[in-house]
Amino acid sequence: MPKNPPVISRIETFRHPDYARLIFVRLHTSDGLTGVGETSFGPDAVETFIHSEIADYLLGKDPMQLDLHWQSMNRLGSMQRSRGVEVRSQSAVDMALWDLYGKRVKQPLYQLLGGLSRDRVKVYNTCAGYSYGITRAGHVSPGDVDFRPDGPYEDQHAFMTDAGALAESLLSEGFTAMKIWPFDQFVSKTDGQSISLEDLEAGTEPFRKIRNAVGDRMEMMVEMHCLFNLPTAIRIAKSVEPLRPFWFEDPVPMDNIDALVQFKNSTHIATTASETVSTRWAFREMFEKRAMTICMFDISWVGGISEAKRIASMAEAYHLPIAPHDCVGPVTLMNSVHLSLNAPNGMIQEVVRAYLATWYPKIATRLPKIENGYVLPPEGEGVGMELTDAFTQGSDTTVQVSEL
Amino acid sequence: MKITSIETIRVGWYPRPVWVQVHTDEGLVGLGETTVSPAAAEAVIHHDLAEYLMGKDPLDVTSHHAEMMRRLRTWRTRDAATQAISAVDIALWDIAGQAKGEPIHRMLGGKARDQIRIYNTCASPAYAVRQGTSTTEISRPGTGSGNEPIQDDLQAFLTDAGTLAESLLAEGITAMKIWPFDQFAPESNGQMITNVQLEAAVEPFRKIREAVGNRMEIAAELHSLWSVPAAIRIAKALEPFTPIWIEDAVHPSNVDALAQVTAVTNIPVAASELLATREAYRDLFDHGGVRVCMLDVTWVGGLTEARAVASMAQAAKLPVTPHDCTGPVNLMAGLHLSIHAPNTMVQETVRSFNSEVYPRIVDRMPRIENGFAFAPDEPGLGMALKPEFLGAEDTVIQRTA
Repeated sequence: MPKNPPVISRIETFRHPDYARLIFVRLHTSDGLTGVGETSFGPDAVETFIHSEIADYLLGKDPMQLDLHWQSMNRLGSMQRSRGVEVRSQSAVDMALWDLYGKRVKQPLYQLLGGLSRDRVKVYNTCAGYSYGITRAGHVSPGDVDFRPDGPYEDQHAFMTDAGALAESLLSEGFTAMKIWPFDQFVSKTDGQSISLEDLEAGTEPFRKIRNAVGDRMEMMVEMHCLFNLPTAIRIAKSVEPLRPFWFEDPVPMDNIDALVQFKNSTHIATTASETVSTRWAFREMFEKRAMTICMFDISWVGGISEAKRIASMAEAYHLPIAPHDCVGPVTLMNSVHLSLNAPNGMIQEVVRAYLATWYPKIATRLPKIENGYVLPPEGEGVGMELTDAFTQGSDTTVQVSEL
Repeated sequence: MKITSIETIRVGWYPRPVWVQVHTDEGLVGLGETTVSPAAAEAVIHHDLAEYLMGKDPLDVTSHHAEMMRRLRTWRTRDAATQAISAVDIALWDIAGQAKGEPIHRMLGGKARDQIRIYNTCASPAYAVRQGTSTTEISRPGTGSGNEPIQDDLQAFLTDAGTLAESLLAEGITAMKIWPFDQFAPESNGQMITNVQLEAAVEPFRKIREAVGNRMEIAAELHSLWSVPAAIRIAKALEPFTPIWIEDAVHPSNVDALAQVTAVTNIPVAASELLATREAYRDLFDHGGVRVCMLDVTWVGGLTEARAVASMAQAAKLPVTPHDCTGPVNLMAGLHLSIHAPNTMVQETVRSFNSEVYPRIVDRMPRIENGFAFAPDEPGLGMALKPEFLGAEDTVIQRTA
């Protein structure tokens, strides 16, 4: 190990009420480099954990010992298998360590991961509106639509009302795959324990409208958000199956992988899972039980880019593709793009055009370049983006600092 | 009755727990507790749970538990969110018991017994008040608190385990837990243990058997520090000493790995207080080969979840044993479960905490005599935080109303 290496000297976190579920982290080293990371949900608890337990461990450490820091941070809460506060905190910090690494060796993240396996990767659009999930504070009930008709991309309202026109709009921009969740609206009636034939029909209707409007030119992903019990999930799958969706995502809660296996074995359509699962130990069980056909994870929840790369390799051993999650924030998306371009089994990358067009540019200095339904390799060193000064120095931005 | 405010309480000299007090419009106050990530759990309680709980009828415990779990959706892990839910759930059971004038074990469905055998976890008070989460640091010979504690069972098991066993027997305690392997884990990050280290680590077990024969049951705590081959090597070295169980032999994040240890040893494998939620235990019972179900009421998801896990263990014909070594509310809540559950095996206690740490915090302790803990008979949990503890200078209270 080098003598007297640069050390991590300062940890900053940033939050802003307009993005109530997000938190950003920026690490500084004693020789003046910075690295950025991000995670979401429960930002208050994440902020507390980063500035207490993680700062206590990480300040003064050599930023190049990524694997050691991963293991040490993971042991702070003896955390495996779920995207808890601790793993989310650690994910944000891990991303920032990789960004620092890239800047130190002056290489883009995809190069550090092993280089490009392709020069572009297909994207799909998650049909959220501008404020879906992330930007609203407090608890959001399944199926809630926060309709703010002040721009062209109220895509959640669109899929609930006129999915065919939405598909045409996406095709006109080059998107050939889209994800929607029209069954969420019925969850509260029974807490996901059953679904009536009428509701089943209403939930299936958007898929039918898309097929009728654009035929097979559009791939459709069915997002189920872990909201249904097993027979209800299977009933939904059987209803949408004839319309040939690309995948069913998170059909049942991820707390019983044997139930997920039962779901998967009930349909020939691909089962995608799950952004709600964290760390290689949880994915090991899912792979060994043959519980999914497409491996979805969220880099900002799964344990950072370190853990995402390891899980992508595990998926490869099972001949399964990966599909990294977005719908959270710009730093997570950019990290995901690097991995989707690097991983031999990278297949498709999630993006949200409503976010890309509106609030992502307010936070990040550079966003992934998307052309004709594909995303291209990011430019620059590390992850290739910084937090904007307008965001980090905004009067409503909460900054917390821990330093040596 | 309505929930009107929630307080969290932390204190500098005892950094790992956070206590919760749930207040109601009828003046009843419920007490809960959790440990490990107190600052983050505190943030979860005030930012993520308080909004939901405020104004609710505290007696609908099961539905509040389900809704809190649903909102935070942390699968199968004792993360800060599950810790927070556990603490609140215990406080709600405390309120329910007080409201009905019944101890919690009655609210859970009544007594399966009047008293439960205890075992002593041989920790020193310094082990309670340590900073951070390391289990290995403190158990190296020569470390611990700077000023010599009065009752240092940890030093005792490392140096003179036979005398320690005699001292416990003199109090009527007939089971003890020790962890002499921990000291060798950091060297290889738990990947291997040499024969020389193995010989040194089993020495306390030999001394106990030589001093008191079979009158003492010995539990071997491995703290999830080891790889599968190292854990198997340890298990085989322990077999001649017939321990009552070997605990957390490998990390329960991989139950199939745990099952590999179970398959090769006749020592019952105990696991694991590190798991949370009934779904994680389902997997453990189905695939892990576990023989003793260890759970921690303040991590697993509270008494609601602990009762469910104990019932599942009963269906699997397995005994349950609640964890302590963290805080007084955990001990008391665990004892209510131990008194209630038909399949309780033994209740963990730490005599050094009971004598020197817990009485500084709470107004009443469980009655423990001659190696048994007795059913608490006060309404609710049967303990409250002492006014002088709540009013102390380094006690920090955060309140959401």
